[in-house]
Amino acid sequence: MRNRLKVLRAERNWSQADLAERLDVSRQSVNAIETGKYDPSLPLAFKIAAVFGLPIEQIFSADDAAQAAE
Amino acid sequence: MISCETQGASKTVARRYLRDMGVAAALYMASVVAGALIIGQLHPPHWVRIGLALAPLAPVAMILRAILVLINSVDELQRRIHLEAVLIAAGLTAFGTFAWGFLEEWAGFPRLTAMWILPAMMVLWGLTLALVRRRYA
Repeated sequence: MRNRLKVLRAERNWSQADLAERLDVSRQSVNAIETGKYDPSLPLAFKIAAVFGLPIEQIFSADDAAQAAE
Repeated sequence: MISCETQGASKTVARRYLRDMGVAAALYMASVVAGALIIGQLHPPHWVRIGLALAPLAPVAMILRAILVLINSVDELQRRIHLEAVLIAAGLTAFGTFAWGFLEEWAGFPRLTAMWILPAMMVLWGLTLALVRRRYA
């Protein structure tokens, strides 16, 4: 799964630690999600969407969907 | 190993874990030393020996509880890391002890007591935790 977490975070000038605090997760979790090493659960994905104020599909996309769009 | 275990946990959770582990470790040491002294010097009856032999299990149960509380208190990635590490450690311990059992029976290797299984698993858990954590770093 791909995500735009890093870009969205940078737009808001948030550090990984800032985002981690907003999501109530560890900084390592934010880093692992950003780098694609870990795909969050659906509840956490919804929480991330709520924090950024965006629909989930504007943050996460399936690998094959992203490839098809390219 | 302790700091590795609490990595990713909140300060409150980490502090509680370290406190519970410290108390449990102290009680474990006290029960083992007291048990060994009483059995060695007072030669108590069999039923007392059974009680003394089972006494260290109470602090061990406290340790297992502290680990469960820690795993239930961290976020989903940390929980996944812990569970993967525990699974690998349990698998390695089972594999190792099973292999040693055959070596004891068929190749004359020295007999080890089952008492070493839990400490071996705990040590392996510490090692596998560090390895699994690196995968998500």
